[in-house]
Amino acid sequence: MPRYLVACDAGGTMTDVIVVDEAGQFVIGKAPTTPHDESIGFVESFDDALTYWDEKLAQDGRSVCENAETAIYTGTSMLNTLINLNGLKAGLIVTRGFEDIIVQGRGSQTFIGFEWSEVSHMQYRKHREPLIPRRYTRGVTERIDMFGQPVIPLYEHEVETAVRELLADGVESLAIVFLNSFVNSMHERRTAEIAANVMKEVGRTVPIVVSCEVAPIVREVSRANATVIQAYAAEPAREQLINVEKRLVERGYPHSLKTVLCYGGVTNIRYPRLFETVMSGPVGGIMGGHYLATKVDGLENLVCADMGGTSFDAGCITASILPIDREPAFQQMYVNVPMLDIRSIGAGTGTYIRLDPDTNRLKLGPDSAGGTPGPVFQNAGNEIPTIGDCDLLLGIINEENYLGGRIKVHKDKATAIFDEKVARPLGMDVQKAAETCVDLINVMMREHLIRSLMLGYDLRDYVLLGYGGAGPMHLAGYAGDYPWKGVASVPHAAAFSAWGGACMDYAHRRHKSVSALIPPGEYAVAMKQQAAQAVSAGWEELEQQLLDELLAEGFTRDQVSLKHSAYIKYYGHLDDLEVPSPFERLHDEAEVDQVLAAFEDIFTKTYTLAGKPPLPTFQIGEVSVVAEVGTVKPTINTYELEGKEPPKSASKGKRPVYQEGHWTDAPIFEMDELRAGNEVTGVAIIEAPNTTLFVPPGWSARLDERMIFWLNRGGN
Amino acid sequence: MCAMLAERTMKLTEQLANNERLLKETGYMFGMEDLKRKQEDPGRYEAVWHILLNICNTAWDVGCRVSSSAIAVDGGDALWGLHLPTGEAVCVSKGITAHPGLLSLFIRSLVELGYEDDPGIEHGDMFENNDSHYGGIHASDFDAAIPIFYDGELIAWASGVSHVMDCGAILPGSIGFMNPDAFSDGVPVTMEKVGENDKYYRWYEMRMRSRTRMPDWVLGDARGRLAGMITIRDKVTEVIDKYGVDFFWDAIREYVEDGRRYAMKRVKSQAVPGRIRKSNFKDLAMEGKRVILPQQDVNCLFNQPLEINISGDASVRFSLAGASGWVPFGQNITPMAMTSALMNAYSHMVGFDMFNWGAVASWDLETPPDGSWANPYPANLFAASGVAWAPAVMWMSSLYETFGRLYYTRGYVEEVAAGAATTLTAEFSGIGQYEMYVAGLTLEQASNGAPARGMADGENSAWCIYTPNADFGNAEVSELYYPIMYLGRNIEPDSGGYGKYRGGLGHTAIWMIKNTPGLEYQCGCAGIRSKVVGNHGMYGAYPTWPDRGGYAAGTNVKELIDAQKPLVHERGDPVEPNLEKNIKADVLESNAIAPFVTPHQLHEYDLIIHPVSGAQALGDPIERDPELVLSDLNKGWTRDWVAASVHGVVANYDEKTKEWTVDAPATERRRAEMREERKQRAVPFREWWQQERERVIAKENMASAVLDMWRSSTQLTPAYGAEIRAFWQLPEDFTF
Repeated sequence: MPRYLVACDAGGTMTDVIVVDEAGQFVIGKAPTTPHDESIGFVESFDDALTYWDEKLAQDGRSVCENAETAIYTGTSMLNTLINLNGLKAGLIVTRGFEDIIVQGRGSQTFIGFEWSEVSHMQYRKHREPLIPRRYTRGVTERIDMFGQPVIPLYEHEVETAVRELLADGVESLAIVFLNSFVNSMHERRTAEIAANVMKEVGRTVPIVVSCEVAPIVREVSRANATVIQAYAAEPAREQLINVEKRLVERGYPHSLKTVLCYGGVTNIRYPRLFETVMSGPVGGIMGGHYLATKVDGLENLVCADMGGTSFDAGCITASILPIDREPAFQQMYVNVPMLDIRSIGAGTGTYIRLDPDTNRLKLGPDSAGGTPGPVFQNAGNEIPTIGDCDLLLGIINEENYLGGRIKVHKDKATAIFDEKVARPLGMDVQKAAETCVDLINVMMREHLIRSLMLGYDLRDYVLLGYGGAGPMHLAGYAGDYPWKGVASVPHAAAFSAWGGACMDYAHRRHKSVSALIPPGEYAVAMKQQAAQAVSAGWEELEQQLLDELLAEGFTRDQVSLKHSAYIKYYGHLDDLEVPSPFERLHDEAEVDQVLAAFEDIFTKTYTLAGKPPLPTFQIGEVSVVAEVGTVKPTINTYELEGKEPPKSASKGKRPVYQEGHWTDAPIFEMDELRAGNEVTGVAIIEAPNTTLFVPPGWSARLDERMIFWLNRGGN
Repeated sequence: MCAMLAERTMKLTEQLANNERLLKETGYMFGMEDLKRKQEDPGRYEAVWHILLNICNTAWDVGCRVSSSAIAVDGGDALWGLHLPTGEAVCVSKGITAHPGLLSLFIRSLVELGYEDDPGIEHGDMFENNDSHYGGIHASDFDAAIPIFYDGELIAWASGVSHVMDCGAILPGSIGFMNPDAFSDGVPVTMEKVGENDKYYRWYEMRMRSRTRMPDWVLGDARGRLAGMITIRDKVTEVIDKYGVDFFWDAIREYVEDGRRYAMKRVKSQAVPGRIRKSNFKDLAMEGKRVILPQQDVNCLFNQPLEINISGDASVRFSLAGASGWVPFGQNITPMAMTSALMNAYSHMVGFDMFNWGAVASWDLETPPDGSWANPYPANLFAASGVAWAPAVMWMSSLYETFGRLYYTRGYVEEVAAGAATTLTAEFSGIGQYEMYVAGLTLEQASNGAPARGMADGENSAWCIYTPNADFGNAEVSELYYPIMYLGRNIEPDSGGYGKYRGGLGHTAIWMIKNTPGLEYQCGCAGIRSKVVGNHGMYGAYPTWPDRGGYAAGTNVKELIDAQKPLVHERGDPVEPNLEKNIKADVLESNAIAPFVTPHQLHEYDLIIHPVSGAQALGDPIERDPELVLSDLNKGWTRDWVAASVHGVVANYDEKTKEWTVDAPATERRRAEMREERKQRAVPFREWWQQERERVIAKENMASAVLDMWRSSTQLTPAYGAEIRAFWQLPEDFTF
């Protein structure tokens, strides 16, 4: 029997399932996401995927499920729990005087994701609804100083009272967050002990979550948010995942379901630290790119860009190192959860096009009609023109077969509304105005890639990988005339994020704050020795935690590989940089010097030489260890190259496309019928049921032996 | 295009004169009646704007990360921008919106002072200024600029500004409220060329090392400014390569003119023409406190009038006629800096589509009276400006309210903002926990309560009038910088103004000194109300409290800790403050009038109570929905006696459910009683006016600060004096 991988990416609008067989062949299914019970959308999408193999889940599902090596699910259940505020009734014990830590948060949490003109507009300010209200928060007297010394001992009598009161209030979980517990956790751990004893005495036990275990990292607001998310949302989210697993098990799936971690990697859905999955939606795409880079030469520096209906999400992999944001902004909170650093702007096919009534300036988004109601041409209630309407008016979207014919296109309506609301006020004809809008959104996306992600890096070292439902359609546009090393896409671009879910190793990651200062001059040698000890001790502690965890999950030591990093900055700077270490421990001055040299190299690439202090003092503030276990992943086949000329079966005729101010009859190709080695010269359109690859004038597309599309400027 | 080519061959001084002539003659900046580039290709126009904005924000990313001070990175007290050759800001990064005007005027001053000829302007040159005599605001804000040349032509400037932690003033830190004169304001950099070939001169580094207390941080910020500016210069050059120098030349001017048009259209569509005024008074109570020079042992009162005249075509004219005289403290500001402050407040209330100099060109700011706190140098060339933002903050708050009234009048209720909170700063200096000297500012003040809106309460801890990047960061990060330990940082109940919609609440930080042999604390100000209630809220609201801090030195805190007795984690009910209730100390002050410097050095286990204020409210407090009062009671954001006495809400606490409930009938009765009490207290206006007139004539209960203020106001602006006399029907020869 063939073996399969099943991967699912349940997004806010659609649930994508990809089923890959051992030969690397795949099918993609789509169905609306069902937030109240995500297993429903999952089953429908799975069923849809199998129809492409002429099978039905109800009839033939067992043969796939029973032979599935692994099933991986990325959903929105934790996100929905936070949005809908239907998590556990959690209690919080904090350092006395910080009872408002969740309610008050930080001022900057009130404008996360805002445009600058919105940031400057006080009237928009709003704190998010707290996950734990002040009423279920208790302060207890204690203080540990920044060196880890207990200056005010834990007032244990206050702890006992607090726990009793919170249990009497009916809390269903308990979070504990004390200042500086990342340096010395004794007060938090003692509080947990007392709480456990009180619970035993009272006869009611609830989960206890302590911040020193969740995220032993400096910055109490972010650590508190992470701890509270775990206490509030982990278990309700787990229920959804278990429901999905049940559906698979009913069909014979013999293993446990896996889910995706924010920092890339999969884990068992019974993993205790489920808060690490809180924002795993966009992870799949980056991890898919990362995996592709292990199989295809020349992709070690990769910019991954996902364009859908609403947002344009991008992440940058440098030297195969995943970009990690250790304090990401999420749901109006800063959270100490390491996440892949994926930056988004509001740009997609659903992005609204408006003209400012005061200035007649062309404004794109940032809001969007998304997939529903979607562009005007879908005739589903939206009457504001969108980028998708422009793609249609330019002839790039197939009005006869949009999304494989599943959605009827109302081109006349789109034309009339676009003309009235955009083209005429700009004094342009419809097509010229549509092309102007598309060019502008492409510039916005391109600038987002370059300015947000690349800072000082050299584009000539990077391949741009475009995916997402609308990614291939705009890829050449947002690649622009910048000197990328290459511009690439894949046939399964529409479900690349789901596919990426199947490409991850089993991974756990831990971070810990440490303190090491290395000044110039006579003390440098001694301080380097101290730094080596501090960093090594941190790594050792984290390694032990990770190995204990993975061995308890049934893996053997030799299955686990470890990666060590240090976070370094010039003393006085606030932002540090991740520096991967070639050493598992730092033993001497020379090894410390090597790590510091690597830091300086990254610093000057990221910023400018002007920023480098002449006689720097280095500060190492944090260390991390990633433990990975290899998993079964999709095969990436190598195909024999055929001729440049696409086969006749790939040709779907021609249709007029408007580009650079005039109409051209563009050849249309069926993506599934193209063969490795084929080349298509723009203007051309390559269609698949779920996506469209557009090859503009002056560009060509070549399908290589790995079935990767390479877009090249300058025609052939 | 020929005119453009001709202009491009002009010297910068000629371009400046030409720009002014064209604006005067045509009513449009640069004479641009038509925005041709915008009309010809709106997509390219927007695309290049988008690219330039991204370039500035990239400079922010680079510059802030390279900068050393927490105030730049976590506090957002920095900014980078792109300017026309004559200084006008085209496009700026996120950051402290109070600065683009200053940067524009700094570059303009370089032009006006003939720097093109002497010392000349070359690629790689770096210019800096922090001298308020030449367009700076105060010595801790360093304005910097580098030219951008293209094919040998000076095509634009890149700018950067950051606030340093110590500027070498007479007292440590960067908020020099106590500076008696300009000589104590800090290390001056007076319109200087500070480097070439993208490197600071050696003397610059030497000066910063010998004349500031935290030179590593100061020089780190300098590197950050430079790194950001180089980023702008390099990326802008790429833009010009791509889109052409002619397009760039036109487009950057069109963006500025577009900014002007937007500001005017916003005023036209949302405000009303006419004249609107607001009186506002700010005090500075220093009598009897630790000061630097004997003449500072005084109380000062600032008259901060705001008058706005809006014409039918939506042009706006601002006036400070009646502003009182300069003060012997670092709270004087120059007209140039006031322009930038106004640009900042305008961006909050009028908004912007393209945040640039265009808004400034849409209004006129009358030169404030010579010798006033807003224009001190004609009378005293050496007036101090250590925290020049302080009076500007209060004046900007008035602008919130006046524009709020205009918007309310037109029905744009959601755009209203009652007056802003003040921003009480905390600075420490002494030997830090690493046994090294440290001096600097915490971020505590940068996240106040937000003003009440026209249809909702203000948000708690969410706004700062001088930077929209409102944030106070993490306590754990502040503890890394200074030898302090937080004992509390909670929302302060009832700290916003009271009204139908209350002001957003501030918070109170409680610090215990630790890991130092001694530490100085300055409770300074970027806005402050010592005793006088500045800004009052709108439409019948009651104002917020004045700013009051607290401290205790020589305490029994260690004994209390050892005995596990209660400490101080919140200010507590002002009727019985926790400091007084729980602590014994050699010196204990729970209601210290801000600003102040603690009289003596503080030592381990001494305590500080540092308030961060709430903002102003809107509407009558007894019209507040009892459900909102109830919600505040249950969240601990108001006290029952406030609910009863201010809002007329009768509430009961259920010990069992630990929740409050409102007694609706009792509340109705209480409110009816309050209305009746008001009626009983009320007197007809004419009667009140007559009583008050008699008091004015007799100068009854007028402290010297009050008399000094009125005297200088009426002398510095005789027309204002005449108006005052006319209103009170005082004799022609009446003087205060």
